Amino acid sequence: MVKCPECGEIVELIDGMETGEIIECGNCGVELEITSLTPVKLEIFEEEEK
Amino acid sequence: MDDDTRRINRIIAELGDGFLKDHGFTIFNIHIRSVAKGLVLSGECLTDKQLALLKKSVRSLSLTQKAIFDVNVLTGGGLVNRSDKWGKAGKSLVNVTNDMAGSKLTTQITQNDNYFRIIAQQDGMALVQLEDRTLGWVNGGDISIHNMDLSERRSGLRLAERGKTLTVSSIEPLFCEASKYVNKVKYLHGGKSTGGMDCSAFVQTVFKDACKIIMPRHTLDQMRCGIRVPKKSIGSGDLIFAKVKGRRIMHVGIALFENDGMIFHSCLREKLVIRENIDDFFKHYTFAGAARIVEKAP
Repeated sequence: MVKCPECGEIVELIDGMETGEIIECGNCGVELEITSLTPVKLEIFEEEEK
Repeated sequence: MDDDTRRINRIIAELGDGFLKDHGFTIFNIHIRSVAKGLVLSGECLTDKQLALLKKSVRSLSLTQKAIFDVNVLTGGGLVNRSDKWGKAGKSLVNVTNDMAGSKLTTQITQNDNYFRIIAQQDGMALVQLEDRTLGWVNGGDISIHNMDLSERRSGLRLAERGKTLTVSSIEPLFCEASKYVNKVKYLHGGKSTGGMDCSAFVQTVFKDACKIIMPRHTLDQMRCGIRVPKKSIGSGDLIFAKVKGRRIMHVGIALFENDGMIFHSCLREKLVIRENIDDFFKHYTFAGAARIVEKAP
């Protein structure tokens, strides 16, 4: 279990997810990058301009 | 008006002003009403991020009453009953831009595209919402405007949904359709025509023409559709999302598994729509997720 760094709600990862994957916080909708799996760490992901 | 409502109203006003500076225009109509369970914030805003910021700001207030959010995100949930005016492209290709000055190409519409909703008209420009829910400005002279009700513009298209897959009779048409563009159409950021298209426009075009499914216009919004799939379970027809190595730029393509794993995508690097071996693809991109949008009917 890991908390969203934006809103503090629990974010659930599905089995098999990898470091580097982008997920969405189901509560606040912010995009999060999985930066570590052991322990699970999430950082807010903001896309840069192309 | 109680103290909680007054404090929330102040937050709404401050956020609305800030969003206007950011976007040049915004839709941020939030109203508060009191119910037995607390205070309901209802209305509409433009983006998920605006709603996230509203929630964060309100929660930081330490209110005495519970705040309940019932806000429609227009780029995600669509505009409802806002206007009966609908538009069609009046020439072969119409640019949709992020502001009235046409600073940045958001996407493009063609005469083959379905009707789009006219939100507002100002100084010869029209703020429109397309069938994929993208919002943007078009030159009023480039479009025709019609008054019509919903029954007249039904298209038989289905919107890709969050958390579920859509059933199709076959996924083969996806690859037939994707192949039509390979090595023929160049990469163009914001483009959505045979004159050039970006990665998400390629996915959008293929899914619409092959399966009659409307995908969102932008990569991160496409990532919210369907069901998430682990990398080891990716199958043909799934969307693969990736980041350009060393950058925070999102990219998307359509997976095809025959003898080898392949991916169809409008490639930033090659500046072309290509079909590429998946191992070669991941030499340049880092895996960021996969989503299953369609499944073959049993």
